[in-house]
Amino acid sequence: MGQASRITHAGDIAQAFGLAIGVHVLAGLLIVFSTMEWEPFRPPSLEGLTIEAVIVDMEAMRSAQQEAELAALRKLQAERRQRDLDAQLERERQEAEDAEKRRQRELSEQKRQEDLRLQQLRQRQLRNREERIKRQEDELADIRRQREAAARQRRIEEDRLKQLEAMREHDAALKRQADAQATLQRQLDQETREFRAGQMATLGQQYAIAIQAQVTNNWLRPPTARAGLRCTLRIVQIPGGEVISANIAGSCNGDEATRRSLVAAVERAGSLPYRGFEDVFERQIDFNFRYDGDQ
Amino acid sequence: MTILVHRINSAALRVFLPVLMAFAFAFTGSVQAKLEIEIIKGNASALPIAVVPFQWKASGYPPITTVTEVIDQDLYRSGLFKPMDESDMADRPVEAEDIRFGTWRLLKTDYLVIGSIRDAVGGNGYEIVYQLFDVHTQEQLLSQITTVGLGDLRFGAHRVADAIYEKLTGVSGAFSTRIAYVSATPTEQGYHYELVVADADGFNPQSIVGSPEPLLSPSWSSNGEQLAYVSFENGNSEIYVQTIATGARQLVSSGKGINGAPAFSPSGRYMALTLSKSGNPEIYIRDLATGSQRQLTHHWAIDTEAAWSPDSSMIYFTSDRGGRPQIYRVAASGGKAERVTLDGDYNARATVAANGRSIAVAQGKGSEYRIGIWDLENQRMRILTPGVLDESPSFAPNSSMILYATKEGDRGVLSAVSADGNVRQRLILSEGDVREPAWSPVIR
Amino acid sequence: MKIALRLLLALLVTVALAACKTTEPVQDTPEDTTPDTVAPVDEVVTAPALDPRDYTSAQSVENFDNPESLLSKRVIYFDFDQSDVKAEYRGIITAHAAYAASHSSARITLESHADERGTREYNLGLGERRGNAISGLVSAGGASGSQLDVVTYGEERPVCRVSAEDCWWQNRRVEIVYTAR
Repeated sequence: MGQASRITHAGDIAQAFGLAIGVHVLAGLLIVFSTMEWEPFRPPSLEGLTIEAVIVDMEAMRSAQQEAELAALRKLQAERRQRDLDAQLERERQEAEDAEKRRQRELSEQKRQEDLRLQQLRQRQLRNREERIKRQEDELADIRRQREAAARQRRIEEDRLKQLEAMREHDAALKRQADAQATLQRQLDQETREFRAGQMATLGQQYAIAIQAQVTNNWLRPPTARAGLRCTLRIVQIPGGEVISANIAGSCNGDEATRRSLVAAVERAGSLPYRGFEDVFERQIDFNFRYDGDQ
Repeated sequence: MTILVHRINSAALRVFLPVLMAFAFAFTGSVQAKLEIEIIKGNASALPIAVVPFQWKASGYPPITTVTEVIDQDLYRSGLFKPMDESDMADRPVEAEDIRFGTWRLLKTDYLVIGSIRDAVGGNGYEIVYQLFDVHTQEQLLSQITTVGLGDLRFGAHRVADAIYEKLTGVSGAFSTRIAYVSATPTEQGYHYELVVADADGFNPQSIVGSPEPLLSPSWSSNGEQLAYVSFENGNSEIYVQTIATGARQLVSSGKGINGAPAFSPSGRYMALTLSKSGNPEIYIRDLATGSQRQLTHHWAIDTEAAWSPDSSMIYFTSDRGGRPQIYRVAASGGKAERVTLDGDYNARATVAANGRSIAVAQGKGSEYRIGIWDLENQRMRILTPGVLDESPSFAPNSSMILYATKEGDRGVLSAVSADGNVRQRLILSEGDVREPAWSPVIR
Repeated sequence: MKIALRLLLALLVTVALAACKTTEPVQDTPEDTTPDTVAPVDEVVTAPALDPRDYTSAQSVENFDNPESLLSKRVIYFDFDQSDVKAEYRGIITAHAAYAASHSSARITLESHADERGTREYNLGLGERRGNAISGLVSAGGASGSQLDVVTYGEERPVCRVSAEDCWWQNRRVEIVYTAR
């Protein structure tokens, strides 16, 4: 009973202890939190010099005052020195800037002059070249002129020589001519006779061809003309080419329109060729019309 | 004797001999060699002809389209003539004595037509007086008067063109003939079909049959009085024969399968037709007098579109027994069919020229169809039209022109092309879609 | 001291909120307030839907208007200048053959056509050849010959009239027309 109660007691004690601690912790927390400031910690800002208030005697105060004045003087001097230094730095900087600017200007001026020089040089070169070329051309022209003059001279010489030759030849030829006159004349007569005879034959052929061309071109063959057409048209003409009669001669396997087209072929131009063919004029002509289809 | 001669000789010869010589020379001179010249080919050309505007001497007003214009257009369409423009005529003679042939020769024409129109004796019509001259020989080739009733001036003009054509070619003209065709006009319910008969130049159309169902394949009887055609009015193809003047018609063939492609024989005794009652389209010959039919082709292929030869002895027809449609030929009395067209992948719908020398067909190449002429003698095909959906060729009764159906945009129209392919002209017809032309025979 | 007050306040608030939580009202999903109406019926919907592949039963005639059934497909198209039936159409033909075979009252007219190219009379023959080709297949599929009829219109009854392939293919056709079902 004692054990049990002790245990229970222990348990109870523990429980009570715990509670008590808890309450104290809670209370402590409450106190802590309620008293704490929740604002973030900020270090106090310095406004003016912190003056530390110290108890001092008059002597010490005076010497301190002197010291302070000295310090202030030194400070001023330092500041002045600093200002002078700054001013000097500034001056130097400015001078350096100006020097730089000057330098730049000089450089650009140099460059410009250099360009100018180059340009002038190039122009001079160009001019030189042109002059050279012109000189060469002039020389060539001179040479050409000389050559032409020489050639002309030569030609004149040649002509003169030829003329002399010709004169000499002429005299000789005249002599030969005179000698051969008689025989030549005989030959010529013979040839003329033969030539004229031949010409007659060719003219006749030309006459037939001229008539053939005219009649063929004027033959409008009707659509009813069939392949295998064979018809002969006999015409009689009078000098001048006028046809005074035209008739189908012999057999003709064309229809009415075809037969009439044959006459039309001869009549259409008005007259058959005559001018220039008077010597070979033929009074009666047989035209053999033929058509064998279109190949 | 000798003494006499001697004495005569010594005196006379000195005078006579030169004279004799001259005579001899003259004689030989006139018997010259004849000049022969070959003229080969020349230039193909239509006949240059000038039709001087006929003078209007009749009462009343002249028609808007003059007789002269109708003649000009007929002659031009035949492909044979090249009529002179009125504006080029420097002269307008009316009587023969007014003609100055030199002028016309200079105007480069070979033929000259002059004329006038006056009231007919009796007053119920007109007389067209005209003459045809050969400009080069100055011969008068024709001098005629054509009399027509009131309102028939166009017909009269066609007769004049026929006469000119016949005089110069020896072939009868086809200008005063007629054509039949089918027209299809859209309506609210669908289409309205008409079988129309008109002049060969498309004027004066008259409706023969009207139907809400398709009509096709008109065929003229040899006397020009009847038309056979195919009608779908009862839901299936049927063949009718109708008399144009009266409108009376007769059902010739109906029944299951195709009843199509009727063709009157030139002799007038038979009609060829296509029937598929045996299972595939075959050609039958029907005796018009008795109505009896016999089968002409016996082949599983499609045999149709029969066309008679001018002497009614042969039938040309379309058959695809060789794979694709070609033209074959078989004796109308029966026998073995032989292939005719040997050029092209697709040849159908033959029409035979009246001179028996060629057939015209619709030739197909891919999706394009053109009209071609197959020369039966030379076995050569010549394409006449540019296409691209040309079909149903029909020869003019004088073999000079072919009428056919073509398309302009999406509209069917009719065109006429000369058999040599030189001239092609669209026919001005009624509105609507026009197809299936058939040219009538010559009706005297 | 203000901190402690703050803490106390915080404690009080938390307690209050906790209490609130338990007395929050429950939100209901909004209810549909429109009254239910009976929709009108267009067609008689038989309790079991007809199989579109039924060509032979007594009800199969309904499949003629059923776009999912082959019986509703009644146009067969052909190639240019050809009359062979293309493989893609065999199914349709079989369906109609089966229908005709099982419905002795059915009568079919095969309306046959061609496009405008080529001559008219030849095209009558070409159309008929196409119709015959289908007729043969339908007969082979069980229909009797007396049920079938072939009529050719050649190029005379086109569905369009433009000269181009866009239109031509539509005219190269055979239409399966039931004059009696």
